[in-house]
Amino acid sequence: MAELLRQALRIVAALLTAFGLTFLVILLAHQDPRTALSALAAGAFGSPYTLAETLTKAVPLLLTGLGVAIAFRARLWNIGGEGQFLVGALAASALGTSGLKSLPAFALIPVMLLAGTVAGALWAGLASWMRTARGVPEVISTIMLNFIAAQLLSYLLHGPMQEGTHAQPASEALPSAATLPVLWAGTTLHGGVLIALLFVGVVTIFLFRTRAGFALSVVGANPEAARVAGMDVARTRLTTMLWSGGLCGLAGGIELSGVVGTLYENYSPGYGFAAVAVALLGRLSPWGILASALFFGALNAGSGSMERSAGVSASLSYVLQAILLLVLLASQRVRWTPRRTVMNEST
Amino acid sequence: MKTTVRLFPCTLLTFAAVILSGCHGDARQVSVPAPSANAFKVALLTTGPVTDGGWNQSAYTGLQRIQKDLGATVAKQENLKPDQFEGAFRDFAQQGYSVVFAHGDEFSAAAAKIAAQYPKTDFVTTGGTHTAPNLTALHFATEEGTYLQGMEAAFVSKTGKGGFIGGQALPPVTIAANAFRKGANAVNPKYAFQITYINGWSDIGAAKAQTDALLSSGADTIAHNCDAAAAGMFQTAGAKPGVYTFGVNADENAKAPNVFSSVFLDIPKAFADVAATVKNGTFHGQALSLGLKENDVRLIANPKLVSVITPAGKAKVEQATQDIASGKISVL
Repeated sequence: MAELLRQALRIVAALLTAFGLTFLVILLAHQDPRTALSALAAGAFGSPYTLAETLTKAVPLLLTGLGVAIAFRARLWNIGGEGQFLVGALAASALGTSGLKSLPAFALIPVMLLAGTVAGALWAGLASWMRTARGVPEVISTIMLNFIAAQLLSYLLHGPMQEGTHAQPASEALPSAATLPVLWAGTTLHGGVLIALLFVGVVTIFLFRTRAGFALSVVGANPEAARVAGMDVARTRLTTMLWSGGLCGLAGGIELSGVVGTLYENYSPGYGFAAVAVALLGRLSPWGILASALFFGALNAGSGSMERSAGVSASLSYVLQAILLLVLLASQRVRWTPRRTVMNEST
Repeated sequence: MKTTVRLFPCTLLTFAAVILSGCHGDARQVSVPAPSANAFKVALLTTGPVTDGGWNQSAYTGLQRIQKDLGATVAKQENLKPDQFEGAFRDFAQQGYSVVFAHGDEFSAAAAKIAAQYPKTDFVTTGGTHTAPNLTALHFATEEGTYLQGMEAAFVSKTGKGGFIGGQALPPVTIAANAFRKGANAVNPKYAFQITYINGWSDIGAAKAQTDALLSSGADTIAHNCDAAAAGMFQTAGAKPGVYTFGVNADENAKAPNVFSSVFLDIPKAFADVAATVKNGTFHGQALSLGLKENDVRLIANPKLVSVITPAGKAKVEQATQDIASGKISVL
């Protein structure tokens, strides 16, 4: 109980500090901070529409955040959420615009999302294989795979997957049967939010109620001990990366089917990287990540409104997010710091 | 607990500042008037910064002109990513904006979708293919100007090689690049023109790298259509002796000593003209093409470099200008 109270105090103090600093920055930019921050709040929670927007924007952050957190718990530094997100979207798009597109929605959407999940998992699995076979640390391979995924996307959009008129570097738009249903008429809230919430539960069970989840935390804490205890370290790492990448790939598929409908270059505005922030803020716990994804979702939704209604430029909204992140992380102290031994050992 | 304790002085300090600043808050609260429901409100959406000294900035200049000349309440949102397009359109429409300008081909599909849902707001996309009773697609025939630049390049190039750095391979960009090549080949069929893209509009480093690559392949005439990233091209190629660069969208002749000419799009004027039709109720959605003929696209020569081109060459460019305006030459 005392620990919980301490946590809460810490977060409240950090939030207050962050908002105070933001206030100052806006002031320094010769804007009215009160107008700006109230526009931010209105843009995140002010109306049913903006509330739905907050939830919608939280979906990809939640799923990629969960994915990254699973890997981090095993001390596998998966910085490749971005690439896994992109290949997930690619796979979903490829199927959604293929011959399968005449399938009814209840069959087509699951097939697409499953394809996205598998693609993301395989992309992360590639990094895991490089670790096992060649000792390449995930932190490097996953970053490199991000670039490969982005270039692959670019190539496909200028070639095999380009839309019919061959004018725009974009994919064919998904048919309506491939589009996740809107849950709340008049808003952008789509069915993907339920899938994302479902996965908060699934990941909780996976991490705390299954053998694989247990093995993952042991391998993360001490791979030597895990080996001595007879655990298959390489296999556990592979499973972990598959889960991690699968969730990021699923996020890519859901975002495509629920929000964007068309693939284009620079398709992800950095969800895979934001995921790292979301996961760390959520202290790598599924429910904490739910809260931090909602928080970042609200910031994303609100910052646009801040620019539109209060004239505070977009770059300031990024400053705001960065300050919040830094202060919140500082307040948590660096409990998630990688152990040197893990970074160096090569198995 | 320790952390919390350490954070508190910081929190208190910032809050003291907040409270203090609050005392002066009213004095600076000028920029955000509460607009009434029937005020003339105009919004601008861009995919890049409005300080890029080119494409986006000229749209912003247009917005400022609308504010000044038509007494409009204006707002903008810059650096938009495609997943934000619909939300931005919808938000401005819901706030009762009279017209939303979306500055780029990329906005077209989202504009069409939202225009159908909000018939009371008018929408204008610069470029784009969709039109509706409340949606105009405004096309600036940049390619008419770049065709002329291509001719100039072929006249002044010593190596007979040139290059182009584009942001993304979007239709208006590829069309302008191809027109440059066509103009150059009309003068010198052997003129070789490399077209490259940097997959974005603000990566100065990428534009620099491409410029270096083009220069090392012997190109001595370099054009661009990559907005803010072009700073990298001007920095790298601008200082090279014997090399000429070409500006686009705005008058970029001052951006480097060797900018030969700029294709100037009179975006501010066109925006103000369209906004005026919205204000007086005569707006109707259409595909509107503005080029050399309408004088909304102009080739602005750099006065310091006009002597580089021979009088005969100059006369040919001038002749082509008339021929394009009259439809005798097709730049596509």
